[in-house]
Amino acid sequence: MSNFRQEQIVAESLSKIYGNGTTRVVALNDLNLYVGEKEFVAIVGPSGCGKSTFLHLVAGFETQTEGSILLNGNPIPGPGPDRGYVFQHSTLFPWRTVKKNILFGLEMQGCDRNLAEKISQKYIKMVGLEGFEDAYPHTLSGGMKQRAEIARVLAYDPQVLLLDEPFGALDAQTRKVMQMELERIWEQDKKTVILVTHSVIEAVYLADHVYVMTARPGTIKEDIRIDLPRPRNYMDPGFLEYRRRILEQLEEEVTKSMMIARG
Amino acid sequence: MPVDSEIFKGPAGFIIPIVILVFIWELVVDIGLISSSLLPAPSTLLIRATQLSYPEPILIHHILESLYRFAVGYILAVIAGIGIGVLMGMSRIWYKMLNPFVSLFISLPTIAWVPLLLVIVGLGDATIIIAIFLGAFFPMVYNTTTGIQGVPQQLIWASRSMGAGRGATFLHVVIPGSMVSILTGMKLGVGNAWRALVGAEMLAATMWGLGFMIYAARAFYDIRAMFIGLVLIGLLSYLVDMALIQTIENKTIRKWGMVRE
Repeated sequence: MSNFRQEQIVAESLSKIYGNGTTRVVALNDLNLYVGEKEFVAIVGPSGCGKSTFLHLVAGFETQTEGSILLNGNPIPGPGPDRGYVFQHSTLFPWRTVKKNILFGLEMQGCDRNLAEKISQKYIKMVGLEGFEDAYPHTLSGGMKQRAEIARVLAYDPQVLLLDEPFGALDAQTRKVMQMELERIWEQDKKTVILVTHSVIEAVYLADHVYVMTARPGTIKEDIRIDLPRPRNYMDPGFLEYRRRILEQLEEEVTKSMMIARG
Repeated sequence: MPVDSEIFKGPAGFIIPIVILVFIWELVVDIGLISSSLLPAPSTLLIRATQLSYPEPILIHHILESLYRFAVGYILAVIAGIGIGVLMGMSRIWYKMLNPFVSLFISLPTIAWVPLLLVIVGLGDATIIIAIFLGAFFPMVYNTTTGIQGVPQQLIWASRSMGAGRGATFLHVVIPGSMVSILTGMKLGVGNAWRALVGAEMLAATMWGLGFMIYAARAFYDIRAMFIGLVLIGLLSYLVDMALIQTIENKTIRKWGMVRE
């Protein structure tokens, strides 16, 4: 089946090693991962398994030590607006208002002023921040900041969304709303998404494929295709079965990673 | 007594303690607890200040001369300090090359330069302005450097991934991101520059300047003029801080919530 689909991101034999000698840490080891165009992929794994490192490599923030990673068939040239990144903790610029934050990508890419204005209005509305256009980020709640952050990334329309535990810092209630919101946005204008998350429920709820990563050095342990109609139901027996399967896989790795931590 | 009571809010919080001190000072001298030849009463300082202002505006001339030297030396130090600080903050090699010098010179009292400057440059404005420059320059460099180095990597990544090049990221992210630290450098620079100014004026000025005035008054046992000089130096340094640093702070880092109130 995977022969017929268009692969957008292809990572092969990917390794990332930090430091050397006694400080040497193998973050990723021989990782292989394929993400199809407009596919929603989630990556789950124990803390410190290199999930974020992988996302950094796709974003072009860092470069791999070995192996290759291709975006639309080409090596990743560095950070670029074809990939939008949402960080776990707000990276809104404190010196720009909500609206000016959302305009940043459009401005930097030389978008026409009036058009940029219209687009920013659309996304401010989409994430429910009307009335807060001129507020500075420090006056917003954690949930509002994260919504502004997502609007900022969507505004310049990247092909690929890289979400690094985007809801990790939110309370359970806001988190649930944001998950539903993300599902809705993704259904509306389909993009390729890679979501790194600690929440198995979040992964099963949102993703077409869930990749379970091993404890460090991180590599892919299992690729589970979530074959459930959308929007999905947390209570559905099928849903719970996927959740159980992934948790089982994950638990083994978490135990392993705690053994590593203990030495 | 709760110190944060309403009466201490705003400018009153600054002025009230001073008024109280001046009142006690006047009282202590007037009832003869301390000899007025050693500690002149505030009221007699006012009289002396009037004598120094009329008919000849001597005092204002001293003030303007000092302010002029301060402005030239300080502004040059801010510009050069930010420039070198940016270089050191952005480039590892420049940091390695220049950091030893900053570390050595930052704790050197600026006044220690003055005898050397007197030999090289001679008496007059140039020596004083260079001393002011040196006083403000090193804290400016140091704080700009650490400010730039402290901008969170994720903010830079976010900017780059939104299509901003290195130049645009520097302008729109690195500079505002290091404003807290740059302003700290400017604030420390104001204090250092005033200290340098007063010292250098004592040693290198020929006619004018508050430092010169204090030093010259010593020869005539004019203790009141010396006190007036001290008060004015403190006041001017405070006013410069208010007018310059706090104004910029309010329009930037306070508005942006980058410092806690």
